[in-house]
Amino acid sequence: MPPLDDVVALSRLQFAATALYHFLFVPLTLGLAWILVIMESVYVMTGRQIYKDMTQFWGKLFGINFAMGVTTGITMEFQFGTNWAYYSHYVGDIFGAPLAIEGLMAFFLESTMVGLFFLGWNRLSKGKHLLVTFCVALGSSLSALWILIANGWMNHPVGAEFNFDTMRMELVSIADVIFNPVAQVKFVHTAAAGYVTASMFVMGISALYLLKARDVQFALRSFAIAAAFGLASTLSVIVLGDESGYTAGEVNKVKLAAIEAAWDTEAAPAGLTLFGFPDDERQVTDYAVRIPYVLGLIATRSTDGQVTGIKELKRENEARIRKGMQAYAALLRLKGGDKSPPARAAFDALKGDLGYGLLLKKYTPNVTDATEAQIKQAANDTIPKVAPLFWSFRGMVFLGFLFLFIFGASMYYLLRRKLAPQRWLLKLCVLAIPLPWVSIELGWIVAEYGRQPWTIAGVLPTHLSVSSLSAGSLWFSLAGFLGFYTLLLIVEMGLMIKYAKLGPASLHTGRYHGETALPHADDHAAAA
Amino acid sequence: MDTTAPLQAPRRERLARILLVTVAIKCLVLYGLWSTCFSHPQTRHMLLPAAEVERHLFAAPAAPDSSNKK
Repeated sequence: MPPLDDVVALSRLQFAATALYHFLFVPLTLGLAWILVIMESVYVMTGRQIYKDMTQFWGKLFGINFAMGVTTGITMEFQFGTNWAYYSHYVGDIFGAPLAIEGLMAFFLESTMVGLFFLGWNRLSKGKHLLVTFCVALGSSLSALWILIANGWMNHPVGAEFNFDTMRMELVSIADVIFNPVAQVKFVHTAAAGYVTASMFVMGISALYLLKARDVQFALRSFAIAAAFGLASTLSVIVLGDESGYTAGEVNKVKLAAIEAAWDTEAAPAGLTLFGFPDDERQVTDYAVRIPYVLGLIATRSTDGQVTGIKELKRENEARIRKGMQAYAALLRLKGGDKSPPARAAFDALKGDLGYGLLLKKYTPNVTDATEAQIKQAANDTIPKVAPLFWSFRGMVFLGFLFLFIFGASMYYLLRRKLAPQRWLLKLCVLAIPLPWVSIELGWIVAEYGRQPWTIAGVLPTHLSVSSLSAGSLWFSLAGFLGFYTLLLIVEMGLMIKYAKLGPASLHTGRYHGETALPHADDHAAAA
Repeated sequence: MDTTAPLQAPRRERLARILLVTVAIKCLVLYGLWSTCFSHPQTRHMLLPAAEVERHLFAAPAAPDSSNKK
């Protein structure tokens, strides 16, 4: 719980809460759209009515989620200008393009195509409708891509330079921003996690029908598509998660060291702490269970690359803070009117560390007069708390491997045509429906909490990014968001449960459970 | 195949109506939140006067922040 009057903590809480809520809706949209593409493609290729019914039924659940989720992300853009004025100013030149393109993708491509998806069934040919469904999936993925390019830049700010005249970061290379390795890895990892979420959602609901022996052919086909897509996606998430670890090892060493509770720099290749209890005060991990060499191999892709420990990183950051003090002094000189070539050269040589100097603003307004104790405090701040990152990361990874087991076992029994008797597996699929969301939220906590104390890594400290607001107004808007989003979530859950219970009968085709007294009606649907 | 009593399946149009009403209410609430809390942002178009940023970075007293205490 943040202090009641801490504007920085309240602004962070508000942004985190809206982002986490928003991301309850996003992954299902991302993944379900591609599952619809697969189902409809089979319908177009085979002409079998059951695949059209599957596309329409799961499309209905997609529509509920889309309607509830659309515009929940716009509240974060509200906050940029109001709660994060200095951050907004700093990044405006870089963020403007990706956010505008995301808006175009979301509203013009995605929303238009979603409308055509629902209204076009009797107006478009099979092929054209499939193209529309494909555009829905493509639009949602591209929309996510631009947001994650912006987010990737916050973690690894490339392709931009600080301009002391405008006092902001300015775009130097849009290609560097777009092809930022952190953004690329983040996008594919996040998108694949969305595919896992949707696969588990379809599989879990289908498993429920199988457990109740209703709409069996419909459920089996839905289950099979979701299991295959989910297995491929889970493998992608794991492989890309590993790639993400490698990228973090290269560009975000503090985050990696904190996630792994790597207090000391070990001889290469470093061991991985599988389990333990990190203690930030004592800088040790109690009861650590370690696997030799693994961390070094994952993080450096070599047997001789070192993973720098937290204590050494703190020392390195302390040195950068001292250089940052000099950068701050050089900037003051420039702003004081001395724009001579030597003054510019002095600032240019040091400006990469200006952000580290700004960390001292928390302790002294003048920065250049910081005491040794204040420099040590600022160096301590460069390391986020280890325990929340350590546990969030392990929770996410554990769930990832649980999903691999569920999808793998499901495929195994599907291929052996022995799925229906495996009631334990079907029950596990139903229970696992909410778990991908838990895993994704943990992933976001790792990504964003692990970036602290920065809003833009190494450039702008969080405490200097916020606006001059009153705590009261932040509490008011926070309460408004939480109340509103909770209500939306309740409506979404209510509609989802209602239509999942109805199943394909909600299509009113007369072929499914509860619609007709004809025996084997489901089999007729399958044969159609 | 279960052929027990039919469930009351709401018509497709009813879901569309619910979703349309929800989206409309959502837009209204968002507009309300925006006009109450976010319609006068400190920065417009992600740009502040350089002088204001300079005041913030060079002259402002240290901001209290307990969010990242070690």
